[in-house]
Amino acid sequence: MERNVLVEKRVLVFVCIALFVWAALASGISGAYYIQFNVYQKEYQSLLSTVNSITAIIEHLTNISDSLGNSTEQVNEMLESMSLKVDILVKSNETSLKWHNSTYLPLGSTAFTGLMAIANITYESYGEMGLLVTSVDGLRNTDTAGWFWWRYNCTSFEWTLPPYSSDKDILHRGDVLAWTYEDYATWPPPPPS
Amino acid sequence: MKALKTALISILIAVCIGIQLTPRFANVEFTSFIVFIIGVLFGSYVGCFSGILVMFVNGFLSPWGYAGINLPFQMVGMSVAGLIGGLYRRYLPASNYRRFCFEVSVLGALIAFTYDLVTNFGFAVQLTYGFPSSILLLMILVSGALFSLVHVVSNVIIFGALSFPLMKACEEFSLNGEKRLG
Repeated sequence: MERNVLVEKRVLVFVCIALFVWAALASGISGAYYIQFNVYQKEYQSLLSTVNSITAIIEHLTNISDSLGNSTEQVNEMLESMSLKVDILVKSNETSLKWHNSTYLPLGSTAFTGLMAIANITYESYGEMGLLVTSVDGLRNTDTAGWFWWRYNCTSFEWTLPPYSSDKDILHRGDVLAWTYEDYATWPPPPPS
Repeated sequence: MKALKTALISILIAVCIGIQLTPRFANVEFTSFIVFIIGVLFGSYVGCFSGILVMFVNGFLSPWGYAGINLPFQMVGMSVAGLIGGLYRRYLPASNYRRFCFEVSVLGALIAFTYDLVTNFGFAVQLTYGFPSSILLLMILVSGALFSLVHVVSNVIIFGALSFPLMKACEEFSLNGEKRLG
């Protein structure tokens, strides 16, 4: 008696072989991808931790920068409380004119020490009358010309020629001074311009 | 008849070695296919011998370099192709082209898979100079899975598409040879 068989045994054997190869290969490939996944995950974690540490360093640097900014302001305030800021003009001739703006000087400075702070000078002492500047940056007084010092009057908006020595003039915050090299022939000498 | 048989086997092995030594795309090979056909045409012994011989020559002259410790594993792996061909010879389907193509494709996949399994084991032995640990073996098998996929797929295509034409050509060679030799 012939049996009714849906699928031949031979076909089943080959299908089983095909399925076995497919299953083994698929397992291998999934294993390979799992290993790759782990490798990339580790790399991602390492990258993430690097990014986090860089972010933390940036935050830390920002904090340091902020605190430094505050400290700078505090230092400036302290410096300003201990010093004064003046503007000084040095004019050798009509063409050589140099402004020394925002020059910090210690409290109690005079017009003389102010000039001393910004230029190489020589001077002579006249006792009670005070000190006379004899040269500024190598340009010396002669029989016909010499150095004069000026103070700017902020109320009348004009230069005045003080009738006393520069070392007698105590400076205040915001003072504006000028040192000019002028001919003695004209009196009073022309103010700085 | 013996001379014809020897000539045909020699030609197939020569073609096999020639293709095997030609630089080609990795893991796409015709050796297992030709060895399998030799097995189908001339039996398991001849098939196994052909596989061993081809891989022995290939082990020294391969464009990928000397096989080293992996050589015996390659020889064993390829002899499996001849063995399976010889076994299949006993159960060849009677005049059913589609079934034949399907079956040789499946056998091609099995041969490629077995060959990769054996040679990967050989690679693990080469790495450890001894019996590899199961973890290392598993790692090597898994890391070679994508290459195996290429090998299996290419074998399925080659076996399915070329087995019948090659067997037909060999058959005609034998028939013509017999006629000429009388």
